[in-house]
Amino acid sequence: MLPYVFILPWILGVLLFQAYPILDAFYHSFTVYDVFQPAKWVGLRNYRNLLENSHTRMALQNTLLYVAVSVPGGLVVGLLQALLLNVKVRGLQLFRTLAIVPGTVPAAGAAAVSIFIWSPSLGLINSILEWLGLPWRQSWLVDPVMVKWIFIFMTIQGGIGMLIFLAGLQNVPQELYDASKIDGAHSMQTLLNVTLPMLTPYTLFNLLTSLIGAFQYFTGPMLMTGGGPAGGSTFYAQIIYESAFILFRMGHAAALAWILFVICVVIVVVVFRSSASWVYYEGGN
Amino acid sequence: MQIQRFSRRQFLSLAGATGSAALLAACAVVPATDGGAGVTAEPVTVQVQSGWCNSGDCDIWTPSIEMFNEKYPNIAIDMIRVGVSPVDTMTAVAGGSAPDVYHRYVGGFAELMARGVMLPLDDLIAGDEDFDPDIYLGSQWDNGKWDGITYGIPVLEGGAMPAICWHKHLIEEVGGDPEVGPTSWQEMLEWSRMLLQYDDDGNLIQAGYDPKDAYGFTAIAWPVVFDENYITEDKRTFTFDSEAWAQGLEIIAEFWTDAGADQMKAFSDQWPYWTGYPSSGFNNAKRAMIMNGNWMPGAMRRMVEETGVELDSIGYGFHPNLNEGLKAIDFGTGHTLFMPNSTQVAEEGFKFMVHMTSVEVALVEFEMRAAAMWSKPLLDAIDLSSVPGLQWFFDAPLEADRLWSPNEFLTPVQSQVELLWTRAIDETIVGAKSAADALADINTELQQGLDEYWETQS
Repeated sequence: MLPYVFILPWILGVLLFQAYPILDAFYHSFTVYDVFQPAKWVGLRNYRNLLENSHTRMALQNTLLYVAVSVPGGLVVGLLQALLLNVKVRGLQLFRTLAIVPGTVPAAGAAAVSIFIWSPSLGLINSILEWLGLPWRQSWLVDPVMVKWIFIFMTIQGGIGMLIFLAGLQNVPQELYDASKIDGAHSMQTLLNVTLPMLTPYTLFNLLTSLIGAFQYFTGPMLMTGGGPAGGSTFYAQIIYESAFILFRMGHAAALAWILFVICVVIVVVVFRSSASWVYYEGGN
Repeated sequence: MQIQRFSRRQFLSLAGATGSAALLAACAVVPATDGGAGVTAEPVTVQVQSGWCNSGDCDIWTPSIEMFNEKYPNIAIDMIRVGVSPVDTMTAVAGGSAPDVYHRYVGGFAELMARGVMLPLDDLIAGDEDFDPDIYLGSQWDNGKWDGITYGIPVLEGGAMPAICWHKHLIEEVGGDPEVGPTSWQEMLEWSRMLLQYDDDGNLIQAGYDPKDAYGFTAIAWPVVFDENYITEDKRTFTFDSEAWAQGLEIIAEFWTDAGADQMKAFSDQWPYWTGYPSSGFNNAKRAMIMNGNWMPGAMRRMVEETGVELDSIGYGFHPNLNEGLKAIDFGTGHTLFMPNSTQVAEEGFKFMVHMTSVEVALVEFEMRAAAMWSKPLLDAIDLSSVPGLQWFFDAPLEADRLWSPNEFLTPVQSQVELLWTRAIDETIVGAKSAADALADINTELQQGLDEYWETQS
């Protein structure tokens, strides 16, 4: 009895705040519903409309590009940062703190500052380019192609993933490094054959959380460009938000959310399935 | 000691029942009221929310509430000085935590009126001897109406009238008549091209006209300019895909492409549109022309010292119209008071709303901001000549060939209209689509939203 009492709050939380909204959204994705009038059943119409909508397709393309570049980019940067911060040097704690600080800045604050960094006339980037005499001044946030790369570039950072890699690095048994040294492995061989394989469980975790987070990304673009210009920085989660809370089209938003949910589930399943072939657990799978 | 054991089945049943009860409680619908109790001798508190003119030198609310308390000592006003958005309003009303009175520009409330979220005021108006809707001139009384029902009362600068405003010396520089100003869109385009100035690094430092300015950013600015609405009278069909709108959007885009989209963006970052700010591009004569409302002469007067602008050097006139020569004006802007249908103090709230339409409150606004609404008793009480330019706005509706009411262009999916109109402008400016294609696309998407609205109403 006692164990169930302890997990009761969690069960209730999951039922109320996760299972119920998910199932409710599934039902409402087959309706038109504006919160104030009763929902009306329309079958698959919301899904059909979404597939025909060029703006939705563009948002999905932008999001897939963002995921495809920012997730591996973030993993690589996080891993490189962790490797650097695992080297015993003077001031290590300071370097580790500095490395994690950017991840503690709220997204809204970072967006507010970034507007000025990327501004075509007043921005830091263009000012530096001008000061250096380099002819690369750009209208960064005004070009619909450039703008999405700005957001990808802005979010490729180590962050929490770096911390997890760092924790993983400190868990690699010293005996493995000693053995590789005795075998005459040089540092790159040690990295490829000892460190990286031992980090694969952490890589799997970072990969999954980054993937899910990347599919839901929209705070920066929403605050900095509103998704513009011409939809160039409209990401999928933004159109879910707009449909639900600006346009009152809850059924439409629920259908959008469910499409995203299915995409995420498929990718997570594929990653998990594939993990058997590339993730190494020291204690066995 | 006897210990009662639960089986797993019993435990899951209990958890399920508890969860279901909590769900049912959370989903219980709070019944809407039709206004609640009447004005009583018991002290009553009315919550009022506004994010406009509520602090510092521009705090209209504090003196207005003091005057109200003298008249109605038993009604306390709890002022929530936070901006009002349709999203917040929707969630507050749905969650049962809405204030009693909202003060907001009517555009964002069209969909809330259309969905019955706001309280109909006609009975309260009919039963209030202190309030006379005939004080309003022109079509501004319609600012708070939807489908013939009154949900809102225009107050303060309620029913503001936008016009084209220009710096006379800049118009003179490009060969225009400084007293007449621009009379056609072609003329505005030509003058704007001539007025563009760049520094050595290619940054725009002076612009002629920017259609995405203080009023032009909203879709409701353009039916009056194109002399063509974007929705049919029965509010069932969008007509953005018309020739007039395509022609208009091409002209709008041209102002940006002529100057360079990136330069215009950078310029507007540096010199914002809104004439209520001292850094406004127009107030500092960095922009030659702007579309703006009757609050502008007052706003400029307040910042003469900061901007150095001479009030007599500004000209005012009707928007150039695609239907050349037509003098048209609209009451699409300004502010309105609404009550959500969840209020329990409708009569007391209405007393406050009526108070805010009074001449004494309007005089407070006139003293602070030199802005005013077009009301008969107010016009008798103020001296418009004390604010250069303001007289034009109050004469314009009398001279206009056509007075538009917001009823004509507000739609049940107005937020979507605004969102997609901005997208169509952007797509045309960056060349992603032709004006006609961009408008056809948003028309299709808007029609889906509109059809959904009507479906929920049937």
